[in-house]
Amino acid sequence: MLEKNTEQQLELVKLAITGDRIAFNQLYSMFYHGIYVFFFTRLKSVMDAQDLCQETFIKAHKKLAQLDRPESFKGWLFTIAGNCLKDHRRKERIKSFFGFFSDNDEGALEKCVDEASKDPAKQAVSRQFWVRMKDFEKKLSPHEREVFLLRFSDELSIAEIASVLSSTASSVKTHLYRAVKKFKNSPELHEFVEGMGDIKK
Amino acid sequence: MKNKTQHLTEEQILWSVVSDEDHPETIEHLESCATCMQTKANLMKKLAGLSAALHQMTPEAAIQPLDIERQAHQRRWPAGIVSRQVWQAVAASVVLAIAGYTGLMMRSMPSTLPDDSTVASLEFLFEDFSAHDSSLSCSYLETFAENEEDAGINELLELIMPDVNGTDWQPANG
Ligand SMILES: [Zn+2]
Repeated sequence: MLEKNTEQQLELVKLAITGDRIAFNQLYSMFYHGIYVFFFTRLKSVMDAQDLCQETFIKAHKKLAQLDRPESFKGWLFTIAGNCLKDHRRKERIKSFFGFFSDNDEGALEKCVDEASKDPAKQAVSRQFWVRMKDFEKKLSPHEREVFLLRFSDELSIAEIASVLSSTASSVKTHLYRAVKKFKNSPELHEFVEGMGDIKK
Repeated sequence: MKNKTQHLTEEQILWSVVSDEDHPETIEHLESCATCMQTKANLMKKLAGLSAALHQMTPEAAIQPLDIERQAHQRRWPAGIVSRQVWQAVAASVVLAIAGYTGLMMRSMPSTLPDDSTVASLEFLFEDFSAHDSSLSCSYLETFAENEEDAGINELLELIMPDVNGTDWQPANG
């Protein structure tokens, strides 16, 4: 979950814009998990997610002075993350075009799942979840998938999603409507997430 | 306007989940109908469950110290010698030459991968080409090509014809 205390966050953003390194480090701590999850849900690789997290915050730090509306920090940060993701995917596509293998295959996800927990039961649950999630994502168009994840995984508002995707609120809502409808018609995923409250990491 | 004695349609429930601010009559109905409110709440609960699952099932990773000095994926261009455009033209020619060579090799010997030095050269060039920072512009959705087979070619074209007017690119010592 991202930071809820928006007033405190706003103060930190304002301080960070003035060059306060401690304030920026606090923002880093606040948003690290959210940005890490953003990358992991798209790439299914812990190492790539951690690297891209660093890259996102380094770029954010470099460009912070250009942020004219401190209250839009969250959406702005996710825009930077999105562009880091775009650059990463571009490199991966080029590599695959030339026949180089990417680490982001199913084997890499298996490895992540196995390393995340030593408990075979938890590993099995995690593996099952990502397989079902992947099957669900296959039903979505790329745009629907991104809008859906930005809304329900990254917890961005419609306005923030529109800003991140350089889109309109109306277009975001239309894609989100389609994605939610597909989610509603994916009972195999419902059964799984309904039991999620009982699983502790 | 829908008759208040009728329940909301699936479409109306879905719209209310996406954003109810555009549909005042739906809000009005939901406020007075426990059945429809329950239908909406069930769907919202499942979406919240998915949201929790995505966070819970993401492998934990310890927060790493932020290395602000690191210039992530940004190699510097030799400064003061030639312009960025010239470097891009030279690099584009090399990419094309290697692309042609690699393409031929792969066609004639499908099981042979390029050697390590070719891989290193390509990775270097790709990093340089993508060193521009597009953080404040464009949607990243544009790279989600529906046709995966064309995606590599499209990306290569995008790389060898970069936006030379990009505002975020900085030459070394610039
Ligand atoms: Zn009703």
